[in-house]
Amino acid sequence: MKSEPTDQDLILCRRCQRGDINALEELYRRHKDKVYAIALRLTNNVQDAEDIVQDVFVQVFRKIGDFREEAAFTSWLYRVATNIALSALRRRKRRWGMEVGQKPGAPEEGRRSETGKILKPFLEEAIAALPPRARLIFVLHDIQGFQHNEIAGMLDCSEGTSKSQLHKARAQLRKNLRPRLNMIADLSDVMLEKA
Amino acid sequence: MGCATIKKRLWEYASGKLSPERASEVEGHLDRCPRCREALGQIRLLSAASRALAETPLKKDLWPGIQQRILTPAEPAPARRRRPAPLSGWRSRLSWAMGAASLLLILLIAGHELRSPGPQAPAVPTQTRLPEDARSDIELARQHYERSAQALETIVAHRSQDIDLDQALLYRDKLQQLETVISECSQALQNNRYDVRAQQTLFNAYDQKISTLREMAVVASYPSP
Repeated sequence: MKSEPTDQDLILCRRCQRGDINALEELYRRHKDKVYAIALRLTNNVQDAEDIVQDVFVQVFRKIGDFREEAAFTSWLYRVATNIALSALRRRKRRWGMEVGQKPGAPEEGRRSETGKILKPFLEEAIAALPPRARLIFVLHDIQGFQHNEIAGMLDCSEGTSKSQLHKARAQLRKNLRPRLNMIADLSDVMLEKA
Repeated sequence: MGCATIKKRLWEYASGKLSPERASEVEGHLDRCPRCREALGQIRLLSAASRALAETPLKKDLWPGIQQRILTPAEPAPARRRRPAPLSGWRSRLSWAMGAASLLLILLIAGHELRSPGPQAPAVPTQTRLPEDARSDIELARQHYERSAQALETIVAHRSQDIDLDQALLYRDKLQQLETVISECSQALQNNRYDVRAQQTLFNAYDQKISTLREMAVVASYPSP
């Protein structure tokens, strides 16, 4: 007999395991934004990211019996999400000879800072050009704020792999964005002098 | 400490993850090295831009689509077919012989089934329906099951004296267990009509009940000597 869970996600999971679709709706409302953010950054396309969110929550309902409560529900959820997003990337590459996101139509979202505002479209483009694995780890670590041990758990890889892929992604991004970064840095200096 | 070592630590320094000792080492180097200061400036810009990308709320409500996909039965994916390796010599002849034997067996079984018609299993809905129709479909399937079960129960009741007593008691226990499952699942579906597991268990129980009744009817028709 399982003990009564206190964590809200766990309570909802157990209801889901009994076939309660209303519990899945609550899980969707709680986690949709983060799943969407991961999918959007990986695919760089709103429609593809929305399709992935749908696939993720359908899959969660069908596979909820596989969730063993050994780790947090969110770790399992993001693992499902990253697997589905990577499959989508592979499928698109196989079918069209290009990856999801290598087409125009980058999304418009809120921006945090002025520099982020200027750099955002270039950064989105540069992230989309990264190899899938390095891109995924950059998105999870530098954008979504996951730690290497969490990423290793999600992707079934070692922490060392996660670190080396992140290093590779950051180096490539800096290399590809160097002219833009220098330009923005100069612009910031001019703005500071004027202020 | 050289630029190569410092550059490896700049990301951690920019995000404040370095220990105070390591951070002061990096700061000491930055005071002297314009190239590493430039690199740090780039890293800070990249970090700020990356954090800004995290703020991406989902604007569309995708729940209706998710709900519809869950409640609509999925169509079976077409199986992948492999081209069989060409057979030669005795294998080819054996393959033809086995095919012919299988066909003969199917015809014999079909002929037997046509001569002795039994109660029909309910038709499984194959068309994709909207979720609003799902409830009425489930009700329809239940009615079919109930009718088939009743017809079989009538047959079994007429021939019950031909079944061995021990065997009859076993059948009775099994049927009672299945009745309990059917009753519990029906109750669960009244509380939550979307309870997919309850639906699956209910129809499994109905399947087993009908199989058991059929078996009883056959055993009663052909009692062991």
